Amino acid sequence: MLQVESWVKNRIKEDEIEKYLEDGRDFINDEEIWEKINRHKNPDKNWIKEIFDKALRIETLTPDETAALINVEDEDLIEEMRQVAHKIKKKVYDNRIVTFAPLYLGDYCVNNCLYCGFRKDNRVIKRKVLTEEEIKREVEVLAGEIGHKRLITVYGEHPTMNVDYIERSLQLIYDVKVKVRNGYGQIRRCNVNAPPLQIEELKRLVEVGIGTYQVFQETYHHETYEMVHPKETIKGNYRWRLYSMHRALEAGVDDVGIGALFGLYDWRFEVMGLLYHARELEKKFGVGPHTVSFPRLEPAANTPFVQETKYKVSDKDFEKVILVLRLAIPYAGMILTAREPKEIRDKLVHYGITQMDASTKIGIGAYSDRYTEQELERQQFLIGDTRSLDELIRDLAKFGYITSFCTAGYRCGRTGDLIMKLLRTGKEGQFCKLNAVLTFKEWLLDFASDETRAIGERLIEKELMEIKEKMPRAYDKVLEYLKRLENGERDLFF
Amino acid sequence: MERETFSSDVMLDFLKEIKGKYQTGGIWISKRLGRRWSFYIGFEPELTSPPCFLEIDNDFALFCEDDTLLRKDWELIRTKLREMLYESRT
Repeated sequence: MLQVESWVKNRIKEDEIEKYLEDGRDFINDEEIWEKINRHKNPDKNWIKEIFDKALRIETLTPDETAALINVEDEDLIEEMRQVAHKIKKKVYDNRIVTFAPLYLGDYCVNNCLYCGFRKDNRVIKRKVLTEEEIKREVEVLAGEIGHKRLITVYGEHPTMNVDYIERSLQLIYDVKVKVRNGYGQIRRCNVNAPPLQIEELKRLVEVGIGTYQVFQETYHHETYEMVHPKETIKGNYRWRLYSMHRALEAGVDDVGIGALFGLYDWRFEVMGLLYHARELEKKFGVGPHTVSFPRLEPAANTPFVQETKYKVSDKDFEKVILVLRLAIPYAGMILTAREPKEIRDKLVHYGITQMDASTKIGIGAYSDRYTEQELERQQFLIGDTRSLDELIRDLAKFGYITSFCTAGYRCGRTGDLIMKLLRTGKEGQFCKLNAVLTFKEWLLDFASDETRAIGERLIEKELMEIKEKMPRAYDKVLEYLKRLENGERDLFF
Repeated sequence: MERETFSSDVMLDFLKEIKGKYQTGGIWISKRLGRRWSFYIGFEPELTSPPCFLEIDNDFALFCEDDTLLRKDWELIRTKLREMLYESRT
């Protein structure tokens, strides 16, 4: 017990907050945000069209422009916004969707957040942290049976999951290599959703090979943040969390992911908070967030707060959250997780979503346990879309989307400033298409059901025709690579 | 506040020279970070070709889109790149 207390006491480094403040203030000004939202009620239609054009040029919007979009109520304009969102996605990322799976490493936590099933005072949760052997078993299922190449590992804030544990778990995950149908399965990119870390700790994760580092602010509204995160806890420090991404970028992490938990406070404010966060990172580091997440509050065991919140986001407003974010931060990847039901995901995927999870299990040790029912006592919340990766890929292919398992950027350093430039000019989309075709083919060869493989092969044929027409220089090489994949080679990329 | 960087205009000029002389297409230097490569300095890809890899040392590598012409002078170029990388560090 004493060990936990002393660990908690040494987590926050005030100097790693203060150095980023401007005149003692953080970059979220609650009054200013509300003033902008209220000032731009009933925005001028012509101005909105100009904002659409700016977003289509892949320029980050200003807070005023974003507030105006938030206030669009005209159905015709909203329909136009849907089309713009779709075009932006196509321009930046083409017709590909990246898939991943979450891997929860443990559910111990020293915090006591009112909305979270894993809060320390919640006695109904079965607590567990995966051992090295259990981590390996989980990854063997994820990489060797399902075929995932990309994970988001999720850690609680607790000394049992300190940076040593995070570092070791990443090493273990990367080391698992499983023989599969025609090749081998392996996790190639491990994103990390962890509590705020110190700069020196983040440098260690850079060395071990972290993908994107995610820390969600949960709510950007100071007063609400204070209300839902008890003051005496680590998470009670708003600014320690707010500046996590600054520390990460300073430590050399190339990609950072921001997010808010929708349902804690007014969605309009949270959208503005995310925009301010992106602009702050662009201003200070020249690199905005690699991804933006917008999970909605979901039921959790023995957590009445979720039912009682007055800020629940309706499906209609949730669509607007996605549309506005797509336009406001047009270069960023947008993650729509299996928290949402299939119907919602099938509808919203067209409006700029770039990443989705599948075959998702969020219980600790749930992949290798192979349990099929959701158990609230071992999950942070309930998930809404239980489709397998094979089913999701098939459904996406029917919509014309190709599933990408590409992690090529990290093999050749197309990261950071360079990838931002490529994203803004739409050039990254070309690499994405080529690498999507190659990694999709790999997955079809190694993991797909007959039905999905047939649909997938047809989609590849279509993609090849487009490559031949738009990127003739690359066409012959793609054909050569596809042949080599069929002959058992793996991990070929542009 | 700013991330530590050892890049310089001189190095960019040199990469630009190589790019033109050896028709490399996009050319950039990346720094090894554990299992991955992180962009360090250079010019974006333009040919949409698979990246060619040329090791500068244990920490840095040169990536370009076409190394056919570059390879014959690689030892000389590598020496110069090493000098630039480490001179600008001190």
